[in-house]
Amino acid sequence: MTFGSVLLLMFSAILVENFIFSKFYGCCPFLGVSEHPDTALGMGMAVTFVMTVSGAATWAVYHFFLAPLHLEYLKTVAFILVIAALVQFIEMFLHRFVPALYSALGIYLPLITTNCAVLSSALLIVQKEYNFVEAVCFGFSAALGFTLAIVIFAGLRSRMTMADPPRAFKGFPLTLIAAGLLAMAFSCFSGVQF
Amino acid sequence: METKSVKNILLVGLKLLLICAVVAGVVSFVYAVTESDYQKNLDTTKREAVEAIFGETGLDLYELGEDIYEVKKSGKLLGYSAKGTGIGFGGEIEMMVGYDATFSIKGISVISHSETPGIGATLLEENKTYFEAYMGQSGEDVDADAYSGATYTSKGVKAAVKEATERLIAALGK
Amino acid sequence: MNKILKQFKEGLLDNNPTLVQLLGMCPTLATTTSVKNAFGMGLATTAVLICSNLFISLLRKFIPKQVRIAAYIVVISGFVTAVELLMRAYFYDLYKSLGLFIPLIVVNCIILARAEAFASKNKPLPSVIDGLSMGLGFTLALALLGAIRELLGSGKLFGYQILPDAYEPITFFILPAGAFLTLGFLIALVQKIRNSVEDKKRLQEIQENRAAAEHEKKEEEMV
Repeated sequence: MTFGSVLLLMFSAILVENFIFSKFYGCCPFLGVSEHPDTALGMGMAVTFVMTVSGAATWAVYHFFLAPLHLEYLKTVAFILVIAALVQFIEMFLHRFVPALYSALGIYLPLITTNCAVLSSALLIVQKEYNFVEAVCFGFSAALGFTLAIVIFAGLRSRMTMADPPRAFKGFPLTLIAAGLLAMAFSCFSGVQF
Repeated sequence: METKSVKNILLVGLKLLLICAVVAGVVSFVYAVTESDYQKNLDTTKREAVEAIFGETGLDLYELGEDIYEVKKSGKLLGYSAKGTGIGFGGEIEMMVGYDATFSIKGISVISHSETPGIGATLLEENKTYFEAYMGQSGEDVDADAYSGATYTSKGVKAAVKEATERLIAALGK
Repeated sequence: MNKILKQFKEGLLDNNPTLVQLLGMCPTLATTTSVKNAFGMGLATTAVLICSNLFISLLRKFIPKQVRIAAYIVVISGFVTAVELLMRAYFYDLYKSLGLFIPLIVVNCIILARAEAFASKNKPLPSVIDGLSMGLGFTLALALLGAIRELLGSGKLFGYQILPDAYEPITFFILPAGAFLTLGFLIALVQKIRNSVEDKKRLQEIQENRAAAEHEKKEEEMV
């Protein structure tokens, strides 16, 4: 493993295999918390924080606890517990020691436990047999891809509030159609290989 | 008051632990019941892939390494078979590659892939003639022209065939 | 009996988890490339939903309030893993084509939402029926979306050729962008229907009010 291969892995996780536009991981917060660029950025940063730490934590749990005991089949249960505990812990830690960051990210943290992007990145890390460094980089860059998507999309949506669509399309349908158009743009990245 | 809250926390923790233990027990039970059937499925998939290549059933497969087989039928050597994976457009393409007794490629069958339906998937599932370019090739430098419109799938196929060939060569020590 | 029927109507139509409540978008968008996958995903989710609703309802007095969400997640993830193990043993093809989305049923918001909003407050039998009707509503929505995407995107249904060969499949519908667009139009259609039903109701109300007012006026004049 070289520095270059890690860089490629990160590039591919951010753009080519973007969690939202090519894999649909994390669509709920993507469609739900993207009305305003500021909140979208907050959510994206909170996800990035949790996913990087959880990438490392679940890797450790899998390789030091589940694999030696041949309990691989319990990974979904174990990972979701680790993620839930981690989110709780991060919330308490930020509340106690970094209040500024807590006031910025605090309200998004509880939502992250049920964000499928976090669980799927943990499961993908195991499936792709990444080592520790790759696992952390993958978690971090997949979350960056998520942040990129949600912030761009929030920018689009904040402009859409001015639009006057037919009544049936108001709200969610229009949001989905806009997401479809953005997904088309992102599909240009798929197939980029080195 | 103090002791009561400590007791309370312990009780809550204990209940949660109990739920976890019961869930883990149930899952382990299901695992124990289903594991053999899952392994059978895996074996069947590989066996079917090999049988599709050699066009015969009732083959004897002798494992030379992980997913590398010596294929015999009633004692007679028919050839070899090895699994290879390559990265296509949508992810990994897993393929079984069959060789005749002189190590030239006899057939290819796809085990799993996640290519785009209608584009890459059509190449792998319906357009079997594409694989004919590989037939009869041998050695590590297998090659075929990319299929236009599905360049990345073609690249993935090439990488998988190459990996299978290399693994077979390594396993036989030649 | 009436109550049960009402619950089913709620789950399938009035409060359809996908098309009306807009929950569980990830599996809805990702696994509807074909009807078969959509059905598989819908039924797997339904199975988990029934089991988790039953268990959480049975344990609703045992689970401590403070850690209930954690307890729900543990129960749900246990059932999801069981379903995954069963599928890879007995429905191997489906297991392969759904891939990572089977373990991701854990974080499907529909299941946690039903656990919190219904099962934790109701008796086991209504909870099971709720799980069944919500699950079927989810399956229905997925199958509908899957049918549209498979038919337009490959000219097939359940893997059988339906449209004549002259039809050039629009691959776009099977790609991720097509998923967003198709679902967008489908929900717009649902909103259109709901709007017109609502409008009719309101129109009727207005007419009734006016009639009543006129009636009153006449009576006043009579006096």
